[in-house]
Amino acid sequence: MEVKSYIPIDLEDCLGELGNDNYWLFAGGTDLMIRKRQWHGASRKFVKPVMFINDLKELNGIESDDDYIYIKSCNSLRDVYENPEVPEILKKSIITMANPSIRNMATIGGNVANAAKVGDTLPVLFLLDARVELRSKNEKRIRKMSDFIKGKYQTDLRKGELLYQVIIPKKEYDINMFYKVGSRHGDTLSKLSVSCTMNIENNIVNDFRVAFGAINNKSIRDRYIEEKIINKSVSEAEGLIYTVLNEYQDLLYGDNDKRSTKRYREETAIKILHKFLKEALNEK
Amino acid sequence: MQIEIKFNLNGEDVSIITDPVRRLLDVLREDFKLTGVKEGCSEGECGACVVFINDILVNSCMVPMANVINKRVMSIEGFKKTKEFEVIEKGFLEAGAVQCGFCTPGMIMATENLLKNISNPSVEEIKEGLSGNICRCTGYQTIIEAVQLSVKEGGGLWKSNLTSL
Repeated sequence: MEVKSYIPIDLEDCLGELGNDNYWLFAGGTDLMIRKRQWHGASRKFVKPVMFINDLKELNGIESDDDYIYIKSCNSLRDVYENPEVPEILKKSIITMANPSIRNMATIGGNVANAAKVGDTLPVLFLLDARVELRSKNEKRIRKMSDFIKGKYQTDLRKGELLYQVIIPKKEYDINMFYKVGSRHGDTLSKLSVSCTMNIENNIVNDFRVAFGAINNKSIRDRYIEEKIINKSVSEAEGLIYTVLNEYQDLLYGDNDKRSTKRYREETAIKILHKFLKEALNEK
Repeated sequence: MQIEIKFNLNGEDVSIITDPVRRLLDVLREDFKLTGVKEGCSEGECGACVVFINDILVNSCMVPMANVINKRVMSIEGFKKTKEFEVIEKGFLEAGAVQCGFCTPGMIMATENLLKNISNPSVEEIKEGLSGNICRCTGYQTIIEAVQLSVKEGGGLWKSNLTSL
């Protein structure tokens, strides 16, 4: 069955048409082409109209000002990786994703808007306090990542809206780590991931952030726990490591599935965070 | 839904009336009879279907025809006419890096992509560069050697020295 396709000439055309039908938005297609496949050699089974937005100029490019980096949604993961202003920790997550040819096609907007549990940029964007700008024909709104992502494949995107750009606050992170656990080194989906940053100045922990990915249906970040060791001396923070680990343990609700077990995911995530804390606090 | 889609294929302007959601892989194999482009996994992991679109390596099994409009597509059949292909082909032959041959067109395209970006890659960089290509015969060691031989044979054919793939 062939479905209606729409190829807009610009963003205005796109937003004008978007509310008129129940469109699949098609950017890089690296997720959609798999989800809609049938059998070997068969055409993809699109049952809803498709709108192709990948080549819209307004949805490509990366800009910045003094405070923020603005990544348009159809930038490929490679475009994001190669931009010098993009935070190191986001690059560390991107380079673990898929393989070079997929990273040439897959978009940052696709990774965010799909809201897959295993989307590797999601926990990092939570950690970076990123926001998303959503646009429709008559409205523009900005949402925090943690509010936009509602659960596994669930977002706050409304009918007639698209993800216009991801907005990341500029900030230096002295120590940063993205640790992904998968079945193999390359071209793998996460069993779990742990993203951490820490800033230490004059023996005081100025900032500390943690996000867990691919464990719960939604990436985990908790500022309340992070603040337990912020503004503490390094030695005080060291004394609080087990308090912090226990509090994170209570937030983890992993599943048993084809990639891993609940127990492995939760225990491994806590061990990785433990290692990060020990090393980060001992480094200074 | 059928529309006219114009693009450049291996240096020649072409047009085709087809469904925009149809895969580039199917159009290349069925309409243009370019069977060097293979269907392996159908989900972007095996690399048997890779082509260059506007000089960027992509999996043609994931590309709908709508994303090809007015672009330059180069398959292994087009790449075969280049000096770079001759060097890589020689590298693969000398290293004995071809067994059943199914993955070979994709491996060669991925090698070109790698050397275009990192002209003298380390073994780790070769592994990363070819991480999207699977050899079912598991002849990876000879494929790595083929890339190294290509670098040696190329004598500076690939000059760029970017740091990512």
